[in-house]
Amino acid sequence: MEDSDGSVGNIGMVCLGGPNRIDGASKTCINASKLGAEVRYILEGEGHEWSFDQGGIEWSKELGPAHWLVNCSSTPLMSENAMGAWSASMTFAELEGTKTVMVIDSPEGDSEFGSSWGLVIERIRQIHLIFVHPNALRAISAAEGIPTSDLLEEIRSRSLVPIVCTYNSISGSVIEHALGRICATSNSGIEPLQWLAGLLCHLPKVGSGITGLEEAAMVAGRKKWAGLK
Amino acid sequence: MSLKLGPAGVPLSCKGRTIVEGMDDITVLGLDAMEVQTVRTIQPQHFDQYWQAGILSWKSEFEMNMHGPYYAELLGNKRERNRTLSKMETSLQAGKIVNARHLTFHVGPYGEFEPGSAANEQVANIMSGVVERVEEVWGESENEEDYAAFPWLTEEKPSLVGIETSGRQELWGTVEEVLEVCNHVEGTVPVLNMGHIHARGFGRLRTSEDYAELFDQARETYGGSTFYCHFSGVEHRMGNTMHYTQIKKSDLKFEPFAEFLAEEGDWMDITIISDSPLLEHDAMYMRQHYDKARQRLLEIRARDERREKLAAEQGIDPEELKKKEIEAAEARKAQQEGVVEAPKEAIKAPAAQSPSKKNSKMISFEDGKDEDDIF
Repeated sequence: MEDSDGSVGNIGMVCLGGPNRIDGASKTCINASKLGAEVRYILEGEGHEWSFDQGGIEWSKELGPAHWLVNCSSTPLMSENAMGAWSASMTFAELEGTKTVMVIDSPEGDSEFGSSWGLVIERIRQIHLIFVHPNALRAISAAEGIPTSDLLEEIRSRSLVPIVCTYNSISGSVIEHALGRICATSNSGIEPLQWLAGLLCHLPKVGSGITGLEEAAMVAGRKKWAGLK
Repeated sequence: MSLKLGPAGVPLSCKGRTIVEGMDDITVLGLDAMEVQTVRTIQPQHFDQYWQAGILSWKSEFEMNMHGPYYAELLGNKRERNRTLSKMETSLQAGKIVNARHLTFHVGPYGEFEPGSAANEQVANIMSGVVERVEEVWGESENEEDYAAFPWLTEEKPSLVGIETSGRQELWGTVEEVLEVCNHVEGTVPVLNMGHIHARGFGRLRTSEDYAELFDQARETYGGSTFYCHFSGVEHRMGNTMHYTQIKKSDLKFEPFAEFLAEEGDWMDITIISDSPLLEHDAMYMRQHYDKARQRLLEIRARDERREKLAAEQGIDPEELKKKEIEAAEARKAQQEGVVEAPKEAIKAPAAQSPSKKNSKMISFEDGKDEDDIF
């Protein structure tokens, strides 16, 4: 349940998004922050670039008590350091017990998308929740040779990632999980990454069982929850 | 006994991403095997680094292996089977170039078959075709000149075809099925994925005796002494693998396996690949536990030898001496407990919790853990 003031509170997220905050991980965390989540950005402030010293990040300290580490598939293509930090973040999250969320960004170029999806596959066992942006569905479907309709289920059953989901503002959300599938329609008109932020904020509160997941998916699709008028 | 350990893929801590860079890192970590993942289509540009990896493994004692496509439908209809076989063909071509000692393949869902001998026969037929194809790809020794760049093709045996146990009830690949097929098809080897076996057997691998039973079953059915295993922590439910976890977080422990290998594994030639989310970290964890188990065994043996020698010197039965030693140890322990009992009471405060997670005001996933927890 959300708090009386409508904010989620007490939900911690660590974001390894870009300094310009235009990638999927950053956008998700900005939305979550609006909902009241405590977000810590690894790359803070303007002027920061992708050429940071990834060896200087103290991951145990940064991850602290956070529920989620939010990463996206485009990060490792930005620079060698970004790639190193991206890899290290997921290993430390695994060690610290923070669950990793991977936002599969919409593709900018076919070859780049292939590389980033390949890197995600290499790390797939460290990921707890994959969110496939609706624009990326077709690209993955083509890369894997799997029809779009079966894609999420196939990704889940092949990789055993606990939750694989997507959302679009017309047809609603689809969540594939270890015990089946949850579909929830929504006509709230919220954006996919707003929905994801809502899901991440709500899930730790309701528990990660089927009923909790259903509730989190439903609440995440509400206008009010997403902070829209 | 030969035991090789390594990760499934390039180590997570490796700065570079090529296979050769991964091999360097694995060697530095004191490990000696790697399983290359060909889960996606292999591009021609990958072959150059595969060949470099092959040369490196040929010149060193490093064991290379290859994992075929994750998704297979060998028991499906003709179209599904051919699609799987064409993916497998790519893996075995790459296996040749990389000097793979084992090529691991899944079979996939039962498809049109019921579990039983008909399905097993079909798998055996397909796998014997795969073994033939591996030998064909490996080439004839007369063509030695053509293979100057691939010395292992003439001096090593072709890769063994590994058939992996599956972790879900609807997939072909119980231990019995895999062993039966491997027993009938020469050139194949069972790939015992311990996480899958544990999950499918409703948590059957708990003690070293459970491992002894598993390998006895393998020895009786399959007969060989070469084994290829995968090990990872696993979350399971109703006989199905839910997802992979690091070893420390799973009810599948490595210690009993290490104990079994140290005590009874002398007859085995075994490779263990860590496919946990903490690839090389867990491979090293396994190495440490195996070394500890070996050390403990050596200590026990040394103590037994010493006892026998002392008993002979004193002219008494070694068993009698052992009994006396146990009595003396118990008396010592009782005396020590009497001394430390008081302070123990005094410090009986609740154990300190990890400041990062437990003392936080934040809600924890663990607080309201459901019966059907997806994680």
